[in-house]
Amino acid sequence: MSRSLSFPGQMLALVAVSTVLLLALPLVLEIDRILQLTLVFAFSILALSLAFVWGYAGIFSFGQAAFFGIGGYAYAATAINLGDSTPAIVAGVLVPTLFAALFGYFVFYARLSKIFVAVITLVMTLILYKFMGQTAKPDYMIGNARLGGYNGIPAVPPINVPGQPHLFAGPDEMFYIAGFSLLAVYLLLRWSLRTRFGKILVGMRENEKRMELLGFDTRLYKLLAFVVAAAVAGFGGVVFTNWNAFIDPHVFQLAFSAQPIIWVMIGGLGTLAGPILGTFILSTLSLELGVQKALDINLLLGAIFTFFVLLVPQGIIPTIRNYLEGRRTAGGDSSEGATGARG
Amino acid sequence: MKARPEPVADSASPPLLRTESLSKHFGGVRAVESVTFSLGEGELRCLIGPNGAGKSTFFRCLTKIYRPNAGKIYFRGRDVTSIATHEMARLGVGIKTQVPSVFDGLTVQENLMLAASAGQRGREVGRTVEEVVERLSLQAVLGARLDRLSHGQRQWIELAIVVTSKPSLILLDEPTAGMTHAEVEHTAELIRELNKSAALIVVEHDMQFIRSIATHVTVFHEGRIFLEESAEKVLHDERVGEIYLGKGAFAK
Repeated sequence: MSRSLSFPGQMLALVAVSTVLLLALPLVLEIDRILQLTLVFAFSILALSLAFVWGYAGIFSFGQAAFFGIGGYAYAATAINLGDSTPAIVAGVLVPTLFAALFGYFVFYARLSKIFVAVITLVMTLILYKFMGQTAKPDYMIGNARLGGYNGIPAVPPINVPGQPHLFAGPDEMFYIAGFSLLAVYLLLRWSLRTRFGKILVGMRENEKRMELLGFDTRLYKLLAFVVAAAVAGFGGVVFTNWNAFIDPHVFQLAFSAQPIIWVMIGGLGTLAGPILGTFILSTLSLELGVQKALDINLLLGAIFTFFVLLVPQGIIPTIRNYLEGRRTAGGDSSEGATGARG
Repeated sequence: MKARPEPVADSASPPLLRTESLSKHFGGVRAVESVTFSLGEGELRCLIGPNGAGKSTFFRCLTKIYRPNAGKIYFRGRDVTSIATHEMARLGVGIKTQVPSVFDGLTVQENLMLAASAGQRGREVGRTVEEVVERLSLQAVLGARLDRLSHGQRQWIELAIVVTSKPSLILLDEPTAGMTHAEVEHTAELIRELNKSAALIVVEHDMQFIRSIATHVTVFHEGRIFLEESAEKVLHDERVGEIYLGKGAFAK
């Protein structure tokens, strides 16, 4: 019999360990490491959005980076205009959510096949890249915020205490905000996968036709999953823009859009912890090697990706889990579980 | 489970299912051609016919997987020709497809929980699953993933999925394919029991099985209804033997 903790017990343990780590790390790490980890947290939120929509709802979206970017731009424009981060955070989540709802409605209610969903989300991202790149003229303003074309929007106000713009977050506070945001998003998605909605998403991933034959309107559930994932990605964009105090169209580039896919695949599709792990490993590697300039980072990422696709296609976490389950079964515990909503 | 509805005796009340001149074409292939079919509440009907006769296409039209090219479908008197698959399921039409359509990566219990949650909420979901598990004797495989079960077991679980969703019309497309003799007998028993609470249309090729469950049989041939008669008459009709298995096959 399994002696593992119950779900609430697991989550409480995770919160306790994460809290201790997050509070302790700024005390022992240098500022450059703290900034680096803050960026990885923002990317991990982006990876979680793809892990949710692809790994659980079975929708391969190339557009998560687009929602990440829209969230970042919405935050920047609102914060510059209003001078307060609270409504800007709301805008950073709400704008990509509404955009995804409108875009997703036409995609899913037109019953596009999976491959066309991937293609059209990629095209949407590239159109945004081209469009935002052409906004260098002073005419392209949102209130007082100049979009700036490929130069982007600089000097974005950081997160502040609600209503008190002079009390804003420094690097350590931003580290805490990003870290606890990642934890909150992870817990929220884990919880949602245990609800009826989460189980329906897993059912759709496993057999969409059977779900329809049982009476589920799969178009609606796909749209909802897409919208939730866009909101999460948009929130990641808010954290990223705060880390950088800057946002530019590179977030809509093909190379950036492909990165979350690699993070999720290497960490493990069908899990939430795996994509976070994948993001940590690959982002840290990119940042370290980027500084040293000893090796072309894209070449190395390509090699790692090829290695995983050929030799560890399930990704790190599912491979470790299968190995441990195999050992447990060999040791006499024959209980079997589904791939449903494990983290 | 609901009490068995009485078969329709009153000509004023509409049949459970009726199709009028239903047609489905694929290019030049007329898979279903002008089929007018009627099924009463609580009735059990078998559909037979050679491969390519249009039986499975007819089922796909009824569940709206295919949109018919012409004709009408009525369910309890309501025109349902243009509604979607999930709406047809919500009206109470369940199907077991020819190739088991199940959730392969999930356990038997998770498969049934999903099926039950389609039309039920809260504790009712768990109660229905428990009831079906007992009724279909699934206790031993409850924790097993579907992709680790045999073909016959997967067929049986798909039947359980359909039963769990509590439909009032059950379409079974070759439910005994790949099953052992014991499993076939078990399935016949189950179908007779299901018929106490739902109407059924069963596509089958196994004549013994058909004899054991059905009183009425509809014969499909080249997309059309060739004959509708009692099981005994159909199974001894030489014309059916000729179109189905070759001349003389049913004469013995």
